[in-house]
Amino acid sequence: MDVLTPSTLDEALRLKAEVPAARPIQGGTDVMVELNFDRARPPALLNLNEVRELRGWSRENGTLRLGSGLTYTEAMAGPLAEAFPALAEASRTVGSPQIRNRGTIGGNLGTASPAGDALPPLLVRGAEVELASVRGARTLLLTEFLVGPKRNALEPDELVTAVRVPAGPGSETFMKVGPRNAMVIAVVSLALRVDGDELLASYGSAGPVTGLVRAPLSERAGFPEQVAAAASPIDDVRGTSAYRRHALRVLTTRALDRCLA
Amino acid sequence: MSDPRATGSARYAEDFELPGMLHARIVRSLFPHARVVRVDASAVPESCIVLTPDDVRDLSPYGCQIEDQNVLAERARHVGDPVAAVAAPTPEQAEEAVPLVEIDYEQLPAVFDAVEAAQPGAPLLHETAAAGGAAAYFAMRPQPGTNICHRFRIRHGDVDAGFAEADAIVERMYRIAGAQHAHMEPHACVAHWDGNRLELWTGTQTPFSMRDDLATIFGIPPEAIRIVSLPMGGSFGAKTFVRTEAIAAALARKAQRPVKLVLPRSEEWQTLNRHPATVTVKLGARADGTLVASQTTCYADTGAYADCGPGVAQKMGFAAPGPYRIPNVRVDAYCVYTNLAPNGAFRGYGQMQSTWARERALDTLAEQLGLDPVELRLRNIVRDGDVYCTGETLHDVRFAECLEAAAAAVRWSEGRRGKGIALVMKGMQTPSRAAIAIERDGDDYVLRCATTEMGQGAKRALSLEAARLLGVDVARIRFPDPDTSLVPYDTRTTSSRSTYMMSRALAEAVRDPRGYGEIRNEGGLDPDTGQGIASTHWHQGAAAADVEVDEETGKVTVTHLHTTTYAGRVVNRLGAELQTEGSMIMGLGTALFEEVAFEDGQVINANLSDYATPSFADVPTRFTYELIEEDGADVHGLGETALPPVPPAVGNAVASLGIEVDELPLKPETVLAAMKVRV
Repeated sequence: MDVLTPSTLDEALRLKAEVPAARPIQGGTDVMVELNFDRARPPALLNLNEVRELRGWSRENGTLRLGSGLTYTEAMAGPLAEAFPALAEASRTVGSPQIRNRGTIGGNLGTASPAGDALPPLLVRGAEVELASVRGARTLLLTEFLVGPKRNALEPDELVTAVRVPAGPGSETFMKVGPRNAMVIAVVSLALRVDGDELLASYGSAGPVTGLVRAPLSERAGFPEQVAAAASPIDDVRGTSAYRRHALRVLTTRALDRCLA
Repeated sequence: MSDPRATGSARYAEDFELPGMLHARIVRSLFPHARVVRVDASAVPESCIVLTPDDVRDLSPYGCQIEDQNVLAERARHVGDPVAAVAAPTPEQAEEAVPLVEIDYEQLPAVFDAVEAAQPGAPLLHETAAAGGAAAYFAMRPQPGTNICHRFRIRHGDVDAGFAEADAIVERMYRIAGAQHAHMEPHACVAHWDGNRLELWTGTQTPFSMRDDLATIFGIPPEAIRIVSLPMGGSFGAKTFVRTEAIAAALARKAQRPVKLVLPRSEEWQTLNRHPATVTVKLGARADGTLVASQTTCYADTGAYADCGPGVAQKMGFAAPGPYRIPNVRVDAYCVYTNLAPNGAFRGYGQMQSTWARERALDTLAEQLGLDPVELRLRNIVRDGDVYCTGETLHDVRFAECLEAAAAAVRWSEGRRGKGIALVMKGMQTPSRAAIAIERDGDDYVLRCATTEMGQGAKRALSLEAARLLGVDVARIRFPDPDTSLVPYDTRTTSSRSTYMMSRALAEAVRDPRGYGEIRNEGGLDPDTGQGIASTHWHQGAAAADVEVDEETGKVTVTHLHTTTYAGRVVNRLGAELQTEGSMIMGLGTALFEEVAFEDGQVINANLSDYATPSFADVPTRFTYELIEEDGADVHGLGETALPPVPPAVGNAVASLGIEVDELPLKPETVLAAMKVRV
């Protein structure tokens, strides 16, 4: 297997166009698991760690622009944590310190797992995903980008370069239930945001894709039930479908109390 | 001095290599119960050696306590049963060869639950009882025509009369899930034949049992086999007796080259787990709390092969009544075959299961009698010189002290809501023998003994003890890896016996002009009456827990966990403390979430992502323990004592909130279900 290491975004896009089957890798916390379990045998890895344009975050015209190379550790602290508290809370629950130092937001988008911890906070913010290729750049709503379990709308020659969310005020939080307190895939996770008169909830590990549920604030009382009903969880070794719905109901109630306190 | 384990310079069994060696992988059954009709290896490249049932037909069946297992199965009895094996120049080539071995099966009916499997008419796994193995230290009592490979009983007093005079009786059935040892280093060995001599380097707690079992399998004298037990990256009972070694040796015999076999992580769940068990406890007491009768029935699910399951069932049974004065005791413990992967030794050896059941039942009884659970225990607790239900007299008894200290640690007297307590009484391998030779090499002393190192610190403890006894600096003590061709016989490094037994042999050796010391502890039980000497040395401890239950999600959070253990004389302070901490954390896993999950006999969480062991984030904020010490007392093994009382302490704490859970682990869903029937 080849490892391609571009040092600029242009070079990365050119390599991706030349070898579309190359698997992009940042922290490797998902990709290396796939390789080690022999679930995938890509002809090449496209190592994006040296591409400066993908790193960090910025404020641009009332939006937060997070580079796809932003790590969970970077999202956990400082002004970004104040500007995007639900993402900071979610990031703190990811893996271990080592995994948080390596894992990136872009990796969560690229993998598009329904258990990706960064996805619910992004969804309740109405995030848009920036995609680029040698053909040019385009922007998709995150809800359009996530098309199925571990499937996204990336074309073979495209890379995720950033994700953008409005920087506006609002109250938000993130919670999850897991079999143990760290380094485990959640039984269910939930991000909730109160944005003016609108309630937005997004659940992870409770359906084929990370779901988004909206309701006017006036329908607060029925919202936990609405979230639980929207989910389509399965029975697996971590929990039953019934328990996942129950937990979503509980987490939504608690998140509402926290955000509307 | 930096510890080589911390710097990464330590070398484990997995690191051992010989020039020209091949790498092996096992081809495993896909079905829980099936006859192997055809093995076709024609698609495997010529560079690989393939071992099929034809190649091992001359080898004898084996098993440490019952010889019921063949090196390769012609009738697979569990998903993952070894049916063939391959060896190739690289591990990758071996892995690629596995799916090229085509196997045709004829499926047979299977059974996955020990209680069901013990009933007449259940599909039989082994039609005829096999011979007892070399490590059987008691008579086997197979029940013909059933899957019960051993039955152990205690008959003491008149239980029916006891229950007749009871004012309160509780009877409940408890279930304990199987668990995986999850040792960091997988099973790893290298086998090499030198003519008719077999040399084997392996991570094993049982070098002499390994030697004797391989002698049986290959039909050669034990002296023609050399076992070197390399340092293990954890074991917890998993690296006992023959696991992968017979297959590696048979491959090496066919290949005429050394063969290395390292298990991939997922295959650990197909190799050995802890016995799932169903334990029914019935207790009777007078209104004042005096226990008058105890009846326990244990079903230990030993999986497809007995392994040391008969011993596990027997220990589950003989310690089930616990450290209480009870005039009438009846125990029936069954070791039962099922079509699950084999279950065997696991830290706590049978105690995890029966301690959970008994200590939970005692709290239910206390509730019924309106008594404080600590008070109920203290009214019945065994004291020095008491006679146990096996007929043996108990000495150096510290249970009351352990219990009172643990209760004080969680401020029991200030209110017991959310708090739970439990006691453990754990036996040590009896009978057992330990021997050691001390050699002088210049200014150094070399310890020659079979005590193995699995990370528990046995080498450190015995080196410190040798330095103390010889009056020299510990830097002058050398402790090479056990090699059966160089060290005297020792039963094995199990049941927290080595610091206790081997330090006594060491003291003998220091006194002996030839530098040789040997200690024998005699005893054993009649399997039909349970009378005799169960253990020459009892491990004594208590655990206390303070918990919070999230009544909406069912999640149990242990806010304080404490254990008190009787340590006698401490040989290695740091080691004693770390063993206690490790035991407590391991106990939290069993208490809260560890469970080997099956679907149609197949393990469905055979990886360390789906099978969660405790992380440091799961350790309670308050995590305390104490070792009760006494100068001049015996050394007490501490490798396991703080483990079995942890789950019932947590379970009893949850029960104090009115949530009675009879099943381990205390998963959120289980706790929620119990809340629906809350009293």
